[in-house]
Amino acid sequence: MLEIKNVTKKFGDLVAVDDLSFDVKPGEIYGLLGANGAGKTTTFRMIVDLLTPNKGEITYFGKKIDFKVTDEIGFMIEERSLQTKMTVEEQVIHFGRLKGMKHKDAAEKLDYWLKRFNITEYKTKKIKELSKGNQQKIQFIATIINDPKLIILDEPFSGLDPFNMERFVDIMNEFKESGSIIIFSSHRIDHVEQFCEDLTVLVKGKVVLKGNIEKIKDDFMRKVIKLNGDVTKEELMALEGVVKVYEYKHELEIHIESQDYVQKIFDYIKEKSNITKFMVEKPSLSEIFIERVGEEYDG
Amino acid sequence: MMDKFRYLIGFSLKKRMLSKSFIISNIVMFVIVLLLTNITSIITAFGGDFDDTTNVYVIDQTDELYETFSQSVLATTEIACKGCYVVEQKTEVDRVDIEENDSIYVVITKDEANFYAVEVVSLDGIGNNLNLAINSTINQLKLFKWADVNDVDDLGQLFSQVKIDYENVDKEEQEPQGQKYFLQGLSMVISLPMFFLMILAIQFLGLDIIDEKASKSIEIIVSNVSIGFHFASKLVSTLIFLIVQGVLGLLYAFIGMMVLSYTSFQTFDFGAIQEGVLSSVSDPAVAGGFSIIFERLPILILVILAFLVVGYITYGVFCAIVASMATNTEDYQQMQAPLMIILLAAFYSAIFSYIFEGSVFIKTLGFIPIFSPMLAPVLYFGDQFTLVETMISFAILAVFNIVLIKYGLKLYRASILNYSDEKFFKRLLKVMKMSKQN
Repeated sequence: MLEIKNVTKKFGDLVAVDDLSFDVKPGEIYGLLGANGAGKTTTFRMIVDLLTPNKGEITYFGKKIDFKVTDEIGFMIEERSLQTKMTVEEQVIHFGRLKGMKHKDAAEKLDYWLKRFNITEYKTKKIKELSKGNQQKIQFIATIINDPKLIILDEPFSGLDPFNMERFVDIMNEFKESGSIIIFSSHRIDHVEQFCEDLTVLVKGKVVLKGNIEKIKDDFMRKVIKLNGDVTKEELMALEGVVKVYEYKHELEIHIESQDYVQKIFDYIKEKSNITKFMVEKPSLSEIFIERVGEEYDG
Repeated sequence: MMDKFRYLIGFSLKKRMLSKSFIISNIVMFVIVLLLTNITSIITAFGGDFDDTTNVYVIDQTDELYETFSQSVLATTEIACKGCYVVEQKTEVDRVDIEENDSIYVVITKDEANFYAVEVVSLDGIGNNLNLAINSTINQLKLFKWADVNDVDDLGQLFSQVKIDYENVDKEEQEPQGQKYFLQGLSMVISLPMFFLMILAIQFLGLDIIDEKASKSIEIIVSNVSIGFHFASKLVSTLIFLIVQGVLGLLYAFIGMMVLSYTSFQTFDFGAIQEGVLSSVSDPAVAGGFSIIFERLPILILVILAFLVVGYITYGVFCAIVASMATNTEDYQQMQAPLMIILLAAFYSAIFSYIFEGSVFIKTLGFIPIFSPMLAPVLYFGDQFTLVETMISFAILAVFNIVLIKYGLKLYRASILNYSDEKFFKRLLKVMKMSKQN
């Protein structure tokens, strides 16, 4: 298990990460959400021991992360970390060797993953000859070349098209199934919502939201009702408990203060004609984020 | 961890030594060394104007100079070009012969003021070699004439050198003065390859670090090996590179000398080269100087190597810090400029040590770590440093390196993951502050 306990990191007067705590169990995918400068990369750098926290502790199965366990870790940084003059083969095997792999084993693994990503023809090509998307794939392959037990991915989906993003997610799920701990960051709420069970939302180093995504949504008082029928926005706004009403082409979206008002609104709506849809939904993470932070998420 | 350390050293070396630039630069270096060591044979082999014999006709209207003049001119020109000229006597200038055969006519007449006057008639001028020979010969003959007119019997007295005896009260300083000057002069020669090797090594080290930093792959590397190991692997791999490049340079020179030996003595024998060098220098001071070099060769090589290796660490650590603070190659090229100036200053101090022999200032610089790597061996070579002084300078350098590595590693650790692009000193201060915090 990866445990981050009350970790604080300061750079001079700037508090990059403030009292951060979370843990990730084997077979879990954990998301760190935040805009640029939120403290995601600093957190990852502390996990892989590139930075030392000013306060708090980071442990991996109860022990401090040091160079004895780095061979079990796969770390992918936000920006491309590839030496563009090297060939794909040289680069990936180089990172594999740094993970303590033998040249032959790293070469075999590389062949497997290139085949899996359907890019075997790039093996002897220089990194600089590849497109951004393909460079991202190579970077991902280099991260998982050692079959890591702890995978840290900083903005892994940047530069990827939806098809390749899906492929990344499939592979991440395979690692999850095999018991790896996966922690990834994104500035996109939809990514985190789609792939993670648990998350932490950071704003300027501070935790603003944390826990299991479904639980966060359940715990969040406000609910959303999606409605289709002969009823106007104005009518709905006049009802007790209604916070906002959005009017879309085929439906109305009613934001209510809490679950307690659902029955009252339903009783009102059922009297109306042509009601084809009445669906109560949990709020989106984005909504919860706005509610908690008090501003629009600009990630 | 040691496996990864060894792997990193091998990786850096492989990357550099299998690179096209390394192979090409070594081929170029080999060719240049081979050409330089065999320049005389090559020039002769290609031939030129000196292959054709030029007729020089002397019209001696004084009726007293021809024999001496022709022999002297021939002897002087043959030093540079054997068989280039044939000197004969004639009675008058044949302009048709000049136009058709490019002959040269030297007309010597009497002159009241200078005893002799010379007129040279040629098609389009004469070569420098012949011109110098004519000049020196006629002026020497003028001197003989003057001695004769003034009844001076022993002209040898005029030309003989006044003997200067050097007696050193210090019994340890018994080296002949001439040999000492020769050694000092020669000592400058060793600073040049040292300077070039140092520049080469520093470039190698800096570019290797910045290549990893600029591509951000440094984050992956130092998340798998400690920054200290990474730092040390760079220093060691560059040191190996420096030694390999130095050995290759010596090997090229050796091959060049072997080729020279074969073309000159028809044998591949280092002894023959040494003998050839010694016999080819007529000046006893120069010959003595060479003898001392051959006698002292092991200790000289040891001193040069020791300062080269430990001195490289000094410059290498500075360079690694600078490279770790840079964010890209252009940034590094700008930031390394002061380091290059320091290296240049050390190189020039070595050069000036010969000109300002015994200068307290230069001797003091010989003990200062950033200068001593290049200056101290030259001072020792030129007999301005005793072995004890050289060892003291080396000890200071070694201690300085220990302190430098200790603090340099902290700065390196703080800056290698820092991508700030502020001005140099601001960046340096920031990194120093961070090195205390992290």
